[in-house]
Amino acid sequence: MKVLLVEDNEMNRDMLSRRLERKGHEVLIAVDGQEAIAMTREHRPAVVLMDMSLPVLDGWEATRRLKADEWTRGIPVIALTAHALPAERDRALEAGCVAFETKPIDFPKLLAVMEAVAR
Amino acid sequence: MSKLRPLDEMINILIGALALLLGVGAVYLNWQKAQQAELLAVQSRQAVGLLRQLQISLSDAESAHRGYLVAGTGTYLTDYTSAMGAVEFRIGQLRETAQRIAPIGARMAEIEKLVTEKETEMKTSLQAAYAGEWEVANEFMRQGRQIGAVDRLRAVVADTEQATIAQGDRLAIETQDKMRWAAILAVVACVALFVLFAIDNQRAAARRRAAEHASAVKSAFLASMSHELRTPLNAVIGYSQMLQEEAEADGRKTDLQDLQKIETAGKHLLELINAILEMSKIDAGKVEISSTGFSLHELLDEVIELVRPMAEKNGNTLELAVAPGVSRMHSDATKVRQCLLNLLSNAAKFTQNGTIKLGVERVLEINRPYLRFAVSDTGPGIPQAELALLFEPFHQLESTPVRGKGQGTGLGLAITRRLSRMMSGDTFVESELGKGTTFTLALPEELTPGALAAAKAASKPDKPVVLVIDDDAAIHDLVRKLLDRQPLEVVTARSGDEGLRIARELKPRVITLDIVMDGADGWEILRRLKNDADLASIPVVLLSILDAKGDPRGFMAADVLTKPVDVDTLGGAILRLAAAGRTQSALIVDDNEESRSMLRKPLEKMGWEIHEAAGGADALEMCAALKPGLVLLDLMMPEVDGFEFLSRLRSSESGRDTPVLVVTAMDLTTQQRERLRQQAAAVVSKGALRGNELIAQVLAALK
Repeated sequence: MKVLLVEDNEMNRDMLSRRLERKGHEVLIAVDGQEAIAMTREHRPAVVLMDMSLPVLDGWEATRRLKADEWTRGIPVIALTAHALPAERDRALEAGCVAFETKPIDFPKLLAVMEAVAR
Repeated sequence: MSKLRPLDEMINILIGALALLLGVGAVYLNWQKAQQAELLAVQSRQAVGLLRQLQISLSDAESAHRGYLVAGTGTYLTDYTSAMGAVEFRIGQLRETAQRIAPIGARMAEIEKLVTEKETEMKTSLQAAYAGEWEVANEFMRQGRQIGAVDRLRAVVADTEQATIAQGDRLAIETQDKMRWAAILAVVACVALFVLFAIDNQRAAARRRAAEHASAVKSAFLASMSHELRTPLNAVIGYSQMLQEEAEADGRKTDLQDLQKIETAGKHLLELINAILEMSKIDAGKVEISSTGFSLHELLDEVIELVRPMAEKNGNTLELAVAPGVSRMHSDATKVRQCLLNLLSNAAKFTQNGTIKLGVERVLEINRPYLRFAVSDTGPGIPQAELALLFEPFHQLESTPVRGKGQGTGLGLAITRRLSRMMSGDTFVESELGKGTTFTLALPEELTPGALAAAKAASKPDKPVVLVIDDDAAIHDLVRKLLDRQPLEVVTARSGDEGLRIARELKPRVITLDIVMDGADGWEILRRLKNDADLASIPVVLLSILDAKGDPRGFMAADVLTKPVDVDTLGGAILRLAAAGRTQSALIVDDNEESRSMLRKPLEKMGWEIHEAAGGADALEMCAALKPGLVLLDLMMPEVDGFEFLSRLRSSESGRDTPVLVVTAMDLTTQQRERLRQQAAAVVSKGALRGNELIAQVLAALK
């Protein structure tokens, strides 16, 4: 499937995109919240993997805006974050994320969740 | 930065108040004097006025007198009489003022004499004239003029006038000067007070800012360290995982295994970092305990499912037994989950092909409902000697034959215990070699803000400190080793000045001090310690390479030992001093007289009052009456045994909190131990009380 990976850290980006590509997915990259919104609107991926702490516009706000826009509302957003606090999880879910993964990412689990939420 | 002691502040205030008082007092006193001086000046001028009146009246009398002698008419006589009456009157008034006004008082006699002279002269000549002896009269008058009483009087009066006025003015000026100085003093005092105040405020504000800054720095450090450390580790883990996938796809088996090792090592490191950071946060007091209501069933199910894969990997069965009456809890769910996960994963790690059970029950302790989460396993068990060490940070079990998964972080149990205490509870362990281990997490069912606050205060590691001041690092190591298993924190200083600074900051329970140190005189340090009001009461053990026992200066120390120091003696001295201050009296309960006296001797050395009871009943009475600071309890006694005694003691109002150290030769069952553990501070076996062990246990019990 077409996946939009939004991640500002180069290493994380590299790791995740390569692994996803090897599993046969088409990976698009965005490095900040602003770009994430633009890319989503333009390419309409099957799922968005959104790191929550991003420059320019953070993950929460980007997600909120995507969910507010009818054009992009239906695209599932999976939150990726370094923090595991329940407060973080609630925040992500409130913003409109459909799922929440903590780093270091459990890759097989991520794949399973992606399969589950993508339409 | 050290605090401004309340005493210093008091002194500051006192000085300021005194200065102000002085200033105001001086101004007031001089004000009084000024009033007086003014009064005096006024009176002086009045007196001068009187003198002038006197002169005028006398002059009138003189004119009347002359007139009669010249004209012989009766009216002159009348005038003369009334004038002289006025003179009398003025003299009377002057006599009064003479008492208050010095210059007048000094000349009053002379003035009166002159007036009387003149009067006599005039009277005589008038009498003569009245009798018709005109010649005689004139003769008297001529004589009188020669005598010149009036002139002289005039001179005296002028002189008196001047003196009086001068005096008044002088006084006024003097007083004005004094007033000026007093006013200056008062102003200076006020300014000084104000300045002191301002300085104090500044200092307090600065101190507050510094403290806040330090706290903020700590938080920022922890947060950034957390992020900084985790990021590269995540990269290591992530890439190794990725490469594993590629290696697997390419069929490169060796590469796959190597990469797996990297991943495992990375994950372990991450675990370690997380644990260390958590410990740091707890120690820094940066961990907040929240309290919400939540369902225990949900949490327990969650925890069991999380641990199941680990448990089953080692061939274990996992059981959950929840007693009726357990349903909800009001506490910090995240922390409870964390603690349970820690205990369960430990059980899973160390048990092979056995059973791991999580049992939850609700009990009432001192009328409060507690929840006891018991994680028991049928693993190899833990030796008694290691039980005490389990909760120490970085302790790892030495002797477990664990296959498969590697060691943990060594911090899990330490964190679990700290967290449980922050939640107003505690964590216990019981184990039997070959049979298994049970870790129990006991937490109040409902965590109230009051309990939270109290627990928070208690969670900061405030183990009493033993300060070692010695330039020889070997002594630091020695004391650390000696007190390794004791509930004491060893802090070291390499110099006298460093030692003093640390002592002021930490207020240690006991200080050991080397007399002969490079660049510092140990005696001087001892003197300074004893001269400091805050530190004087801390017992000091002197260590010296010279035989300092005979030195009279040693009286300031609690004990003097000669190097090379016998470890047991040093350990005993420190422990004794650490325990001694905690209480004044102890009660030994044992039906065997020999046992009692064995316990008595070392306790008496601490300067405590020791009481003895041969049975449980007597002991209860004595407890109620004497309220001892510690009870050493034997279990096997006729009639009322140790168990019975403890139960009754704990249900009594006065005995509820008395520390009890059970000293027994009995072999106890797990249930008995459990029961005792709830009610006593510790259980020691009689055989294990060699050397300093008793004191160490007593110290632990009194904590």
